[in-house]
Amino acid sequence: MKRLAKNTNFQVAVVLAVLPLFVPEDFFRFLCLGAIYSIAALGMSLLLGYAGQISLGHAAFMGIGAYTTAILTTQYNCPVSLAFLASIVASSLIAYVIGKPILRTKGFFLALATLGFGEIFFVFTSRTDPVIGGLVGIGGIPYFSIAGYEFTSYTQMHYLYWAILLGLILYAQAMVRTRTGRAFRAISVDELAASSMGIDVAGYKLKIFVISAAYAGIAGSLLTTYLSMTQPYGFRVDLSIFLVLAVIVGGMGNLWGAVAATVALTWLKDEQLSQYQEYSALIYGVILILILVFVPNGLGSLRGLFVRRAKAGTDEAAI
Amino acid sequence: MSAISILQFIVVGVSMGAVYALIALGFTTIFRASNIVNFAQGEFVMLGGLLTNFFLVTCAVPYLPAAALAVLGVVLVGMGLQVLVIHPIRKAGVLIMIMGTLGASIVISNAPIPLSSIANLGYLRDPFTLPRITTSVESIGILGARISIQRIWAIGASLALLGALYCFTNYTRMGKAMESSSTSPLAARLVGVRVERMVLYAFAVSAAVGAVGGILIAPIFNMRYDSGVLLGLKGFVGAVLGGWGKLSGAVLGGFVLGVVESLCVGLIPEYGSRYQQMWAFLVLLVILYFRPTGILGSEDVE
Repeated sequence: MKRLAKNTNFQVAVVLAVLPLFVPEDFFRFLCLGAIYSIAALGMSLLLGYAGQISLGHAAFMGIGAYTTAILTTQYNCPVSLAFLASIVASSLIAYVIGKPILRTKGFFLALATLGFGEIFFVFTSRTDPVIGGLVGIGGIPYFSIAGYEFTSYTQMHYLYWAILLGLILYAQAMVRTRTGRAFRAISVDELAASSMGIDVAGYKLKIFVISAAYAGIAGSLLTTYLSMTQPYGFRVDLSIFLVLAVIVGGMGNLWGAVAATVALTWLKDEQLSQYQEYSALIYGVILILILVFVPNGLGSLRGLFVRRAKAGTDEAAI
Repeated sequence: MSAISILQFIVVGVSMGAVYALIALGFTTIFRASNIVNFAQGEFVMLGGLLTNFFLVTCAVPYLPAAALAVLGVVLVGMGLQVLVIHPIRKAGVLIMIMGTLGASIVISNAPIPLSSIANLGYLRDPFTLPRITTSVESIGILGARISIQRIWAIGASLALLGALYCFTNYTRMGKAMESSSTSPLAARLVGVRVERMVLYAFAVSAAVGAVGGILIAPIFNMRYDSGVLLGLKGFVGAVLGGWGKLSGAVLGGFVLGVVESLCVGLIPEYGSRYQQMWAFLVLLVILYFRPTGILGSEDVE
């Protein structure tokens, strides 16, 4: 019991479970969005934080999930839960196909290649009118439902999204503890050394790319049922940059850190900056740069700063 | 499809490619001095056009001084970018550098709207075109295809700047110092090269090259405060296509990309023009898969 009380997963789950008793329902609007974006950020955290591969095209994988759900539910009368599963398959499948050529590159070129993929997705969705509605997108998507039970209120959705997130974070934690997780870390440190240890670098990179795209697909599918619409501008490069930023702020290889950072950044962007209207993007860009300049290792590194300072203080006292 | 219309698409592609080539040259200049890829490169191009428009309309300066002032302004922005963003994060690794230049791109492309509100210059948020450099002759014919004089200016300028940059890096002391500061920063420092200063100059040169590209393209296409991102990415694609890190590769890649894009738009029925902005990135995926070192072969890509 004591061990359980110290478990971060358990603590966060308890806080989120009792939260609806204390705060007004309006509050869950951004907490729901925060949970959805956090799921995508978890995938990014696995890819970037553990395996060291950057992707600036993850918004497109979210978009593939969103569009799959939107098309299946509105035009084929497919149940949402089934469309949800199809979304995961679709984004993983496209990640598998696109990952093979893209993951041969590294660093700046990987960033460019994934950016290019995101741009292809944007151009395709915004310029294709039949079926997916071009720039206007698709509307009238039903709420998420399982076996006839529909999630309609913010509180219900809050429980749904955070439950899914908790499941995905448990899966991620289990994975990074295994041989696979250690292989990812080895690849992120030194690909050559990893391959000389017998690690199938290309295979593992593709695996983590597909898994993180699946996370993005889940997030995209949930987002489209939450908003009940989808459009190309919702899944552009700025969203990919947002996800990478969340992983940086949360700390590389820190899954709950990425979640906390995503919720905080969602609050900053949607609840705070939006009131400055035409200044909001400018302020956001400035904040992004300030974060990179002053806390490039994430907010968690600030704690280390204080500890080190305290140590330096004692050293001086010793002299 | 007649031979003449194919030739026409090639001519249009070559002149568009000239602008991609200028943008690619900007990428290469910064990379060769610092091993940094500047994702804000496209914003220099946008700013070149936007500032020229500003000096022409609001300050009522004649064309050439307006263009010169715009280039100067963009050079200052480029140096500001290096001092305020690149220098503080120079030791933080590739990821932070990518995000830093992307952040700079967000800031630069989103600055014109609030600035235009403050200064009451609403026209800065509208699409604009710049006047042509020479207006006496509109266009000339080559083997039955027509090419406008403005496009010839763009082609000429990119070739001239290629020559100038080539001479600069190979035959001047400062050019060689710039090269050395990326090949071996420590050795460069030991022989008295001020490495950080060289990176700053590289950003200045790169910004100037980008601004010239913007000034040349704005009479041919509508530009707006948010045009920079796409132009920048296509320039980057051009640089990779030609052979990353080489000045000649940047120019060649830019031209080839322009022609391929133009031919896709012209020759693929219906879908060609509908998905116009997509072809460059498909070319990128193909080149990264089959020949990541580009046409001329690059030593900087594994």
